[in-house]
Amino acid sequence: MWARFKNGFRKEHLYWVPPAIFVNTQVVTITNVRGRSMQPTFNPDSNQLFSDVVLLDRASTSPWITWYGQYFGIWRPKFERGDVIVLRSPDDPTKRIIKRIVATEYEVVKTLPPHPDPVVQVPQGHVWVEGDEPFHSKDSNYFGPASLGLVEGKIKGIVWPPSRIGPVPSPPPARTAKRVFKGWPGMSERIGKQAGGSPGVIVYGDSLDKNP
Amino acid sequence: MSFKTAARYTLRTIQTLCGVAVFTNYVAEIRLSYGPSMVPTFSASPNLVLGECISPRLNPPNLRRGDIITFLKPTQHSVSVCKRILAMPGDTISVDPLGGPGAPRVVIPAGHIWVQGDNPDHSLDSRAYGPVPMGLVKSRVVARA
Repeated sequence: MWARFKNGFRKEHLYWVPPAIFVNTQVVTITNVRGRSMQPTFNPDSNQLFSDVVLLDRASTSPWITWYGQYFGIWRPKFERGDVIVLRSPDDPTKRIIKRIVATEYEVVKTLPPHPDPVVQVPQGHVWVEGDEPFHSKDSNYFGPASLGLVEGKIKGIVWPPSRIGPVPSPPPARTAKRVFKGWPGMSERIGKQAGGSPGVIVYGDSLDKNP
Repeated sequence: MSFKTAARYTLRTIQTLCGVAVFTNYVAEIRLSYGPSMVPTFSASPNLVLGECISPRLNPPNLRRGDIITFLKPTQHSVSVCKRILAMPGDTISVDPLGGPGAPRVVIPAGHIWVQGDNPDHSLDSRAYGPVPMGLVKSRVVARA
């Protein structure tokens, strides 16, 4: 097969374009990380001249691969607390943002400013995402919980620069300590009634700090 | 059939399937629509609809008030929903137009749209789950069979 390349570009080589596009958009790809919202996990240098390049797993959100994987019962992708994901910004559908999942559906989160409510229960099918750098991050504290349909992939590891090749570092625990609690469906009416009156008397499940 | 031709046929099949997958994701797709929420535009029995996937991916997205779109359900992203856009970002919409002057109104935030089925009595739409982010929109319906 490699001998064919010696004759130059031929029509058969065009047949490889759709699989290349498919792999790049539905299976795995690499992308670079811009911005400071995920410091110090990505782009820890503050000069912003060099950006990290990361490996992006798109198979867990590809409708083709997940549908067949679930149909044959071999694979069910899950999005859990601590995963770093790429999602389309709820504020601007043309922009992609990279954030970390802090809480999944039905869990209760104590929000940070500028969110107007002190406590939020993440609705079904949504996630609460935050950047690792609290002061330079436009995340769920700004636009609220994000639907899982907006997620475009999960970041598996850093491939550049060579000094930091490896899996994605876990977040500093102080960032989300004592802010995420177990919840259950149908809780939000009680939170709404109690949070308005006495913010200290909200009853929710155990703190999820043990599994950051 | 020799091994070489069998391998070539398999390879061409995989390449064609990848081409079909990329085409339905980025250019156009044909789907079946179920349910009574868009009567009389679509019938309650399954309808073939043709949607083009280029408009939602443009910058800015080529979506307007009155377009019929398919989007992923916000609470269950494995399900696709087909509704009509009633309001774009920045608009103020009255949730129940027959509710009188004091009826609740919603200001659509940036990057979101308000969707409603043409048959509002049998439609689960933005009146239940609020404005939908435009990133969930998959295609704009242009034809129906």
